[in-house]
Amino acid sequence: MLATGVLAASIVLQLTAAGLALRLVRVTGWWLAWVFVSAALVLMSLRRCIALYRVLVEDRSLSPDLSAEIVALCISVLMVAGVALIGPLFARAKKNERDLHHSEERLRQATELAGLGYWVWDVVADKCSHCSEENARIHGVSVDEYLARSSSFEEDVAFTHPDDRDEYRRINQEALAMGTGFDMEYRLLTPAGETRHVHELGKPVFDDAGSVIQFYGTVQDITERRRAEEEIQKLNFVLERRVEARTSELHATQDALVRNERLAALGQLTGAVAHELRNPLGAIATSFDVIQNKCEAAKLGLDRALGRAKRNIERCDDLISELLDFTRTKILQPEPTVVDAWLSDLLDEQQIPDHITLNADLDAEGAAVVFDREQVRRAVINLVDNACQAMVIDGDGDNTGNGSGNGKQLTVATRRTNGRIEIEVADTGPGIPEDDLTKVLEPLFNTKSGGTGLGLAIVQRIMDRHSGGLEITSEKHRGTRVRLWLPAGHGLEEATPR
Amino acid sequence: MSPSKLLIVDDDRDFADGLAEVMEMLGHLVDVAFTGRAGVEAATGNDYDAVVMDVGLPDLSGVDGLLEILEIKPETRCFLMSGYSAAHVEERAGGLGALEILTKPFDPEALSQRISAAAHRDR
Repeated sequence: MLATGVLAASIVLQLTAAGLALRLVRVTGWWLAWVFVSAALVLMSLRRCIALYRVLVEDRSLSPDLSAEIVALCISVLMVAGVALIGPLFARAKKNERDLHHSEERLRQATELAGLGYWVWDVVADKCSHCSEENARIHGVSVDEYLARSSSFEEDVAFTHPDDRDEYRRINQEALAMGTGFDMEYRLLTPAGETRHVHELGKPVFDDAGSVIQFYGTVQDITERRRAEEEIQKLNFVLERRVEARTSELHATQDALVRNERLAALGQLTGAVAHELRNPLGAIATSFDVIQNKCEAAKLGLDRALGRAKRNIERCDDLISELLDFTRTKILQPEPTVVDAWLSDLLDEQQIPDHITLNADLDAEGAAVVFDREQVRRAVINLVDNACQAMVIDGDGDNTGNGSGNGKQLTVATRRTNGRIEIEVADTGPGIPEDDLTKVLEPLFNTKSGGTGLGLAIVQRIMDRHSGGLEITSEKHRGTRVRLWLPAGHGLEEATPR
Repeated sequence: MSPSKLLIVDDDRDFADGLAEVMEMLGHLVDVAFTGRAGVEAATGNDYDAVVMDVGLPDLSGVDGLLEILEIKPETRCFLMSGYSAAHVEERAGGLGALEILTKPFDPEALSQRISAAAHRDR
């Protein structure tokens, strides 16, 4: 009876094991394997069932062998235990797999967020064993393509920009040899031909013997950052240039301010001195008149001396007048004037020395400009006088011209160009030395005897007050050309001169 | 005692003539020149006891002119005239001991005495 019971128990246990095996299908997801196991267990129990059926139904006297049945029972117990214990193992494995999957997903998301590509290089096999999506994207290929193109180090080097390849190889080889990590920036050249700046970090993995078996690392696309840095540098450069320019502008303005102040102070001083000189000069002039009178009456033969005195008293007077003129600022009285006609009249009135030829080239096409006639007249006359004087004083004192054989030419020309009206006075005298060219406009600069050196400074002042200007060009032995210009802004129409 | 011969060189004709007439009145024999070149030619071609030259002539600086004269006629007394201050002229003349400096306006009588006294001494 006992043997029968044991037999029955075995059958139950085997069926239980089969059931548990089937459950494992759900845990592991492998249905075929566990179905086989389960089927095997079911068939085994089926055999036992048949034996039990024979005993119970067919022949009660046939009782199974007790010891055999006990052994069979033990086997069944072990089967159930085995299947039962395997379950959690698989479940844990599955959970680990899931956790790993989540972990990888998180890593992928994190690196994608940071724009970091992740790679693993198998040193032993000399190929890339893992490549993240981002890493592939940075290299301009898909993951599969990347792995295909990285089946050896040299192949991998092909991704690097040709100019950076030597350095890339060097750093990698050094890291491998020394067993250290690396941190480098270099350029990639994607298969599409795009150049990208990348920042790559790498770290070695050692085996138990201490040799390097793997490198793993990250790659980050820093092209944008580099571009921004270059932009900043460029902007910096531009900014510096602007600051420089502005600073020199400031200096120039400061210089002009100082110069103007000096001129103003000079003006005041000059005015005061000139004024003071008028009285004594007056006394000399009047006394001299008496002396001259009596000497001439007495026929003392002092004509030369008297003449010199008279001339030079007048010279002093002129100088004082010019100085006072320079210091005083008359209010401008501008009138619309047809330049050519006005200038033509002016030249007719001027007394040009006989040995000088006057060329008038008035080409302002009837343009009219608004200006103070008296002031500009003085400016033009000043230039004409300078020109005439230049063509008297020659280096060697003779009047044969400046060596070019053209004789003494005084050219007065007008032109309308670039929004301005120009009046030019040119001579064929000895010219102004280059060193003096910058100084001639300074007040009191004088290279000829008998002058205040104020002439050109006065002319400049007149042109400034008309918002115009003055330009001097000169060539040694060829002559000097002075150009006055007025803005043609207002009054370019034909106006009837008063 | 023969009167001393004097050469005045200045591009301001009135000034030169005026000075010449006064010096003649004081008993000297005076010649004038109105350009640096003419002055140097006259001085090197003749024997003057003294040459009085303006520092700023249009064709030649007074310093250069006088130095040229001294090379050929070293016994000539050279006076450099200028309207600027003595210090300014000395700066330009570079401390040349051979040149004596006169600042305009100067007293012709004083100049006359300086010239006569030296001439008298030399003879």
